[in-house]
Amino acid sequence: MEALFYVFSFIAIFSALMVVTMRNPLTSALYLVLCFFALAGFYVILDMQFLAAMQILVYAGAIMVLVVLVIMLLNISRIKNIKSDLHQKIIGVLISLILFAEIVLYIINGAQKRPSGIFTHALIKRIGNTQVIGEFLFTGYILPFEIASILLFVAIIGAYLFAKKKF
Amino acid sequence: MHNMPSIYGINFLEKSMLSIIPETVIIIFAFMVLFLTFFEKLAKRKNSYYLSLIGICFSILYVLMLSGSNIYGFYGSVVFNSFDVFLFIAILFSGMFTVLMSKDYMENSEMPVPEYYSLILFGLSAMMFLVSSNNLIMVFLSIEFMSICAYILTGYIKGNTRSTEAALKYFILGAFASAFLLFGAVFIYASTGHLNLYAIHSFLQNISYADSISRSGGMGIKVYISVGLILFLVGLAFKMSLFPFHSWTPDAYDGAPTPITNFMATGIKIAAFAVFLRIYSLIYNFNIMNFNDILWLLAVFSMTFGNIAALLSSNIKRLLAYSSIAQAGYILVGIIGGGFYGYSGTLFYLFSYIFMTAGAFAVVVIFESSDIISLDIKRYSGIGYKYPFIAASMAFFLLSFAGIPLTSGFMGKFYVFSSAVKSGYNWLVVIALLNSAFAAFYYIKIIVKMYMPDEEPVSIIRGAIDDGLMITIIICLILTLLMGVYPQIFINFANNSADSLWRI
Repeated sequence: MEALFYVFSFIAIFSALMVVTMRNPLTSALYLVLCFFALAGFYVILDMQFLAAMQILVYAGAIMVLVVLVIMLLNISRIKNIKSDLHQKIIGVLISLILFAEIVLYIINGAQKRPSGIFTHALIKRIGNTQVIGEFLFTGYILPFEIASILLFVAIIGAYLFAKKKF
Repeated sequence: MHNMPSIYGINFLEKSMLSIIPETVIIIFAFMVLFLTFFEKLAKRKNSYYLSLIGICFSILYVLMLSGSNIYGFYGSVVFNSFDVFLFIAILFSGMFTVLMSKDYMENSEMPVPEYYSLILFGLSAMMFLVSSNNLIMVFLSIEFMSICAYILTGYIKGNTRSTEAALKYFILGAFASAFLLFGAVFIYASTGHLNLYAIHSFLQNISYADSISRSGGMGIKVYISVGLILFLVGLAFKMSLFPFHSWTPDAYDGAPTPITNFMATGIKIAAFAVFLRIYSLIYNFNIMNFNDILWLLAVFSMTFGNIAALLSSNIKRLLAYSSIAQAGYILVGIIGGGFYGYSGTLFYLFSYIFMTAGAFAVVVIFESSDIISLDIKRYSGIGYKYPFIAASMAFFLLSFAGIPLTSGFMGKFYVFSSAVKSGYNWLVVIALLNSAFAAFYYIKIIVKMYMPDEEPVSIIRGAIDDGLMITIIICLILTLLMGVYPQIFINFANNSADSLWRI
């Protein structure tokens, strides 16, 4: 299990770095798909098969198809000529180093006394993880669930307004 | 697992629905306004304008009916108490002014009308959800909801490059800030094991109690949670437009339609400050890290930067945007001051801030035409004699921004600064006072332009002024004056609502 974790994290970090550094947008989009697959692997390790399937269906399937479609519609040859700014790079590296240091600090300090949830491996195996998620969505988190639906509706209105040619 | 009898109990759903009824009313009316687009005859007239005003009035009615009750709805996702009553009324006022201003603005431009009003109503409901949310997931979702409405409305003027650019900038920076917020929320969840704010509060209480018994105790967990809290603060500071995270503010305020600028300056800012106040009083207050020092720096930089940048700008919308950054710094002084007086002073300042800002933006809408020159301060020279009432009220709102006695701005600054002095932040108050004296210069510069034109006054051609704008200006004038002269009613109201922050 532990070896699998390291394999997935290596793939995830490597593909995430590739997404940022690749020049060709299509290549970086495909690396993003790989990154999503690696994240789905984490869910499987955590006994969350349902979430893993959703991750692959929704992110790697639906959303990435849209991204690739948009890249196809854009004129890539014009995007290629953008020069990268040196001071942007310096700021980017600095901020990611600070975030990295924060996460290291976080992991070192939290290792001794980490609160654990009530859903252990054994309990999830007994109930079934789809049921756990479903029950939470329709009891404890019913209001956020409903608000998310209205949020998506408003986003659709926005897309419609921006895409419409003439009023 | 959940306690089953409490789920199927008769009162459960009723109570939960009661706790969100003001938001629900607004959402229902937003859908009704949206349905008007199906019928061409109905969409063309002023129906959507009146329908959204009726919706806001109904919502205010429900808030007043529910005031005094203390309801936890939907398994603690939302909480409705007198803190919410105060801020709901403030936010609904801000939405009402935005709608009132919009009628005149929409007549002069060719934009789809019903969608505009329905987006304003959706944005209002999102702000109210944000104020009442009591759960990290709710906080994140309602911030996203509110921001998406604001992004769409910012880019609403189609074909105008400034508006589109502003929307794009706001969207990219806002998505970045949301990522920080979510990252912080994940860290907080991992270190405490709770998403509910009250549960996190009691968890931290236990930690600090254990810490006081054994000196070595919860040191690790404190570092653990403070990383999350810092990232969370970054996400919220973006919405409050505090100094290092302010860069979207001038562009977005400048490019958006002016009523929407008012909506962003009053509604979004108040909702963000309200949720920060709630989270600050519940989580940040435990002295996990010296957060007050971080906020001290943010407040000082916001005030100083906002005032210097406002001094240098000649566009009235940009000037008001920079001055709103400075105002956010003053509001933050109250939160740093802390305690009961600090929080109630902050709430009072937020309430008074709506009326000054809405009034000033209503005047900007009156003199705005489609070109960019109409926003130059030079255009305002000599209007004091042509439009005496409007110029006088503009002067009054600007004096209130500057914090001259007899206005609500003075009272707000007085309460906020005195609470900070009470907590021993003397240097902060000295800097804030110097800043507000400095800020008075550029506010009074506009007043001088209006009444003492040094050149030939630019003739402003303007037909009859819309009723909605006049109603906005008159309500804002009355309340700004009332809060400056007889603030006791509003202070009691703010005290009541600040009190409920501690009644967990």
